[in-house]
Amino acid sequence: MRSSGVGVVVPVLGPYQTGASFYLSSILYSVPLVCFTGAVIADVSYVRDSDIQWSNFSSWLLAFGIIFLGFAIVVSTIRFLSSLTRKRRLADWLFGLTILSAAVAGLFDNFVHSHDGWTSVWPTGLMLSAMAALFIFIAMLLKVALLSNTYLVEAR
Amino acid sequence: MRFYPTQSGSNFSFLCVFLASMTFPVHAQSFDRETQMGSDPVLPEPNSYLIPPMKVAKPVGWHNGEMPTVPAGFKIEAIAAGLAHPRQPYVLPNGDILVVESNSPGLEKVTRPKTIVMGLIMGSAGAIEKTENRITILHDDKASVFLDGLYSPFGLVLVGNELYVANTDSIMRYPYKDGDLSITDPGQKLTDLPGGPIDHHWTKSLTASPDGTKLYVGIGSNSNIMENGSSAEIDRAQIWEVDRATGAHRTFASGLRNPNGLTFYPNSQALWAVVNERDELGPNLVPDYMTSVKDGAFYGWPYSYYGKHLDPRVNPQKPELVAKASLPDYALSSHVAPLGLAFDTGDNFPDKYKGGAFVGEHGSWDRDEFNGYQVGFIAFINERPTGKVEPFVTGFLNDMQQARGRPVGVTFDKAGALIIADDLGNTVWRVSANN
Repeated sequence: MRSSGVGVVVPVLGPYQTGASFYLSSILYSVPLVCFTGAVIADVSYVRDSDIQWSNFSSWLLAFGIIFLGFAIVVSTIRFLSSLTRKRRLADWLFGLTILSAAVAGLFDNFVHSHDGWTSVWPTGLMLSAMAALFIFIAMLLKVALLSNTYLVEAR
Repeated sequence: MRFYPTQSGSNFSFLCVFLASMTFPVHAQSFDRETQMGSDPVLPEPNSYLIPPMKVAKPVGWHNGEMPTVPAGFKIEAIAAGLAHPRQPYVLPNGDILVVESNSPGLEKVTRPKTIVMGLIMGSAGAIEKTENRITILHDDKASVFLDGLYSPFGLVLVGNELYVANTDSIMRYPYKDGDLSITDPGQKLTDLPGGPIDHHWTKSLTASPDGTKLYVGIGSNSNIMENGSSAEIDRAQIWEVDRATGAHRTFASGLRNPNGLTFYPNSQALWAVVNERDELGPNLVPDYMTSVKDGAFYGWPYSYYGKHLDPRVNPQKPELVAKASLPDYALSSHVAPLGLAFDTGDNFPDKYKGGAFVGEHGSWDRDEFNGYQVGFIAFINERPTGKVEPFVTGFLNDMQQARGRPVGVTFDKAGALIIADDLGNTVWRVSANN
C-alpha cells in the first residue's frame, strides 16, 4: 500500500486506523500522560510543604487528565469496535488493560482530591496519582512498541 | 467502612474500601439522631466517601396560605413577606422589629474543580440568591427601609442610643433614638472584622455584654477544614470581645468553626452561641452544638471536634492545643446548621418554655436524610440545657421534601412572641400562645 524507500519509516495504517484517528488518539493520550505526571509532582510538593496551592494544582491536572483520557478511551473504543475482525496481539490487550486501569485510578483520584484538607492528598491521593501516571506511562510504552513493530514490518 | 487509612494500609485495602463505600454507604436513616442530642452525644467513627452523601432541598417557597406548623396551643402568622433574604430579626425597645436582609458577599473564587460543582449544588438550594444588604423596619404592620447600603450585614445590637451593625467586614455604629423609622447617618466604623478574601463563613453574629461596655462578635472559619490554607484562617473561627468605647478587641474564645446566635443568658454573665461544625466526616459527624462560651476557651476547630476527637484531615496537628480543648455543653445533632438562638424571657409562652432556648436550624445538605429545617426548643433547668431537642416550629419542608422555607435568626418580641426570619420563604414569622 503506502510504499516507501529503504530507510523511510511510515506508519502502516490499516482499514481500522485512519490517519486522523491515529493522530487524534496520540494527541488525546498525551494529555493524561502529562496531567497525571504533573499531579504526582504537585502531590509530592504538597506533602513536602503543606501549601494548599499544590493540592489545588493537582486537582485541576487530575480533572483535565481524566476528561482527555475519557475522550481517548471513546476514540479507542470506536476503533476497536470498527475492527473486530483484526487479529490482536498481546500488547493490544495489555494496552487496553493499562489504559482502563489508569482511568479507574484517575477517576478515584479525582474524588479523593475533592475532599477537604490533608487527607485529600496524603496518602491515598498521592498513591492514586502515582498509579494513574504509572499505568498511562506503561500504556504509552506498549503503544510505542506496537507502532515500532508496525514500522519495522513496513520498512523492510 | 472506615476510610481514614492507617499509615500501614495497603493499596488494595484502600481500593476495597473505596468500592465498599460506593456500594454500601452508611445511611443516615440507620442512625438515631436523638442519641446526638444532649451533653453526651454518640459519635460514630469518621467516614469518608468517594462522593459524600448530599441531599439538597429544592426551594419551592410558601404557596396558597401555607404556613409552618406550631404545637397545639400556639398560633403562627406572617408579619412580613416578600422580603429579600431576611436573616436576622431584632426587636427595638418600642416594639418595632428590625429585619436584616442579607446574603453572602460572594467573594469565594473558583480554586479547584470542586468549587464549580459545589456552586451548582448550592445554587440549586437557593443559597446564592441576590439580596439587598439592608435593614427593614416593621412598624405598625408596615415594612419600610430602615438602613441601606450595608455589606452582607448579619448581627445587630442596640446599646443605649447607639445601634451596632455587624457587616461581614466591620462593626458600624449608628445613632438611634426611640421612634426612628430610618437612619440616614453614614455611621462610624467601630472596628474592622476579618472579611474577604474568601469569607467562607461570612455571618457576623453580634451581641453586647449585660452592662453594655463590650460587644461580642462571632467570626466563622474561612473553610470547612483548612482547605483554603492556614493563612486564610488568621483571626477566624473565634469570638471577639470588642471594647465598645475604643473598638479594641481581644480573642474571647477560639476553635469555634462557625459561631452564631450570640446571646447572653437572661440575668447572667454567660455568653451562649450555636456553632456549625465540620462537614464530610459522615452524615452523623460532627454534631452542631449550643454552648456557653467560656473566656479563653478553645473548642477544637480545626484540630479536633467535640472535645479531643482528632480530625485526621488537618496537617500539621497541634496536640498541645487539642489537649486543652473544651467540650461544648449541648449537641444539637449533625448538620442541622443552627444560625439563630433566643431564650424565652417573656410572659406569653407556657411555663415549660421559660428560660429555654429556641434554635433556628437552617437545615442540612451534607447527609442523605434531612436534619434541621425547624426551630427547635431545648428546655433549661438552673440555666443548663436538659433533655432532647423538641421540634417547635416545623413544616419548613413539605411532604415531597422540598423546602418552603428555612429558619435563620430568632428572637422574642415585646409581647413575648417568637419572631423567626425565614430566608428562603422571604418571610418573618411570629409564633404566640393562644391565651
